[in-house]
Amino acid sequence: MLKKGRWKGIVLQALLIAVTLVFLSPVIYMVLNSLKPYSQMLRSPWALPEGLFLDNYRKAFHQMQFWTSLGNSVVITVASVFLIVVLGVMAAYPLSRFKNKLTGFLSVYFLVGYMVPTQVLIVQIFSVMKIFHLINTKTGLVLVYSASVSFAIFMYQGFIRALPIDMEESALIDGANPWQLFWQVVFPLIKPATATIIIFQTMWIWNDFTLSSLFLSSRDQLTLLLELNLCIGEFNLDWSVMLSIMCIVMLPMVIFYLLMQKQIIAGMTNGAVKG
Amino acid sequence: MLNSRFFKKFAPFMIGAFVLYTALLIVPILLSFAYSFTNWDGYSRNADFVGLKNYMKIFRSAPMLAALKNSFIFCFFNVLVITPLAVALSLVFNANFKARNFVRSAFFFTSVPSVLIIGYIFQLFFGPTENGVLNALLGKIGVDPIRWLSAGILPMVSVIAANVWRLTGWHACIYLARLQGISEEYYEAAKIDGASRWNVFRYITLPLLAPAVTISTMLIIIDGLKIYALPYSFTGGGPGYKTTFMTQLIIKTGIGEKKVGRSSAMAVVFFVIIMVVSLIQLYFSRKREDEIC
Repeated sequence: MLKKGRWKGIVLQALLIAVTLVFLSPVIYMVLNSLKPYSQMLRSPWALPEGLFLDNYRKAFHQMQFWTSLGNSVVITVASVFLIVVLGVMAAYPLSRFKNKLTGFLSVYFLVGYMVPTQVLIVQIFSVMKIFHLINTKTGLVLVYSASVSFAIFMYQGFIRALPIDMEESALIDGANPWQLFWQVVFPLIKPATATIIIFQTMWIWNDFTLSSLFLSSRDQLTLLLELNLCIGEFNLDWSVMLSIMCIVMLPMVIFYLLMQKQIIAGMTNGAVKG
Repeated sequence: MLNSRFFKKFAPFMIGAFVLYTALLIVPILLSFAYSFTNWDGYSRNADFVGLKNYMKIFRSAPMLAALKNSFIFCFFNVLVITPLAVALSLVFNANFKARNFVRSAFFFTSVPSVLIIGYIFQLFFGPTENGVLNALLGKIGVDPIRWLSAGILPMVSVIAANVWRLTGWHACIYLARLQGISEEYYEAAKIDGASRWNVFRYITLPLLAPAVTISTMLIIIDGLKIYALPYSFTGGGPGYKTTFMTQLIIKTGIGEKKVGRSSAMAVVFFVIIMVVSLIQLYFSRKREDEIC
């Protein structure tokens, strides 16, 4: 389209980049003003910062329990994603390799969770968690996230069905150990599904506010996002300091995105978008 | 399928997922049905059976009707605005030019930060005084400050705008994935026939994008029904109930106001809506498969 006429192409591209920058302006605004004193942010929000000003970040780190909340976010996300992958792939295997009444029923049974969002069940999940004394614990939250295993099961089912069955069949007839066969032969073959599930579940769980805000309350348990919400709600801070807290909180996900960009786009063609 | 005599060896593989999923998803769903017929407050040991009273009450309560209406409007306009924007953007993503990767990454980037952060930033952008980012820009061309987050339908418009901003790039990638799967042959044939650029889009690209439209529309609707953190940090659901959505009302009623019975009845209504949406989706994807066959 842009090959015709060099000048036309250049003008169109310049226009496109301008539109893109306008589109990104909220993010640009946030980063730019996190690097300015509040007075300058009010006066000229779109100007470049006058020199290197890191006071906001110093204040932000002073207010936030950065390392604690980062640790909590990492532990919760890694543990939940690990459980989702392991439980999901293990459940998906018999569901896609055997056809009987039980697997037929369970396939539909797991479909329910695909449609009903956990967010509206919070009050009821609370009742269940109270029985097991899991309120305000990271373990409890991890289990709540991991219960949304439906997406992983369906994704894995699609991938396992696409694998040729002969090798598994002959290995089993020869008396292979099902556990080893599964982890050493089948699991490595469906790596693309695992990659996609890890990426999308990580993005979802790391960024979740709804569930975490209702299940975690004491300060030493908070995730990065909850810490941000606490700082904005409780402390009387300048907006420029708050913006730098937001930048800090956003950074890990941005790094993750930059590292995983190719896989994310690939994942969207894998059918991950249904999640 | 594997020989069924091996099933016994593999059946235990399903136990972990089954137990966790049942305890923290199916049991809560059943509980919400059970609670919805009681007046339980979430704490006391006793609760009375009240029959359908909760259901009768919620359909006459102004907040519930407002939330239902808001969720509906929100989903409807998100679909209406995001779909054409995302389709157009996907065509740009698919074109061949130097800055392509930058443009793609930039538009997708808005789905990277948590909606909570997006809500806070948009709160600054739509600030009501002359210091609000948009108002400051409008002030330069002589427009008086607009009360974005309180006047008339503007609060809803603002929340929808924030969500459109967040999702358009993501959905453009859904369409892009589909576009990249379209065989070049169609376009070559059209070229030979001398079809105009518009006709190529109208009669080749658009029909082939149709399955992606269904997926994208459903994702927007489901996401819209679940939306919680965005209005939470952006508008707080207000003013009044102007930007309160279903999820927020369910949580507020159940946890904030301790009316678990009523909140559960709302959740049940919510399930029914989700089921209807999912069945419509199923119907459309089946119908399309029939057409293709």
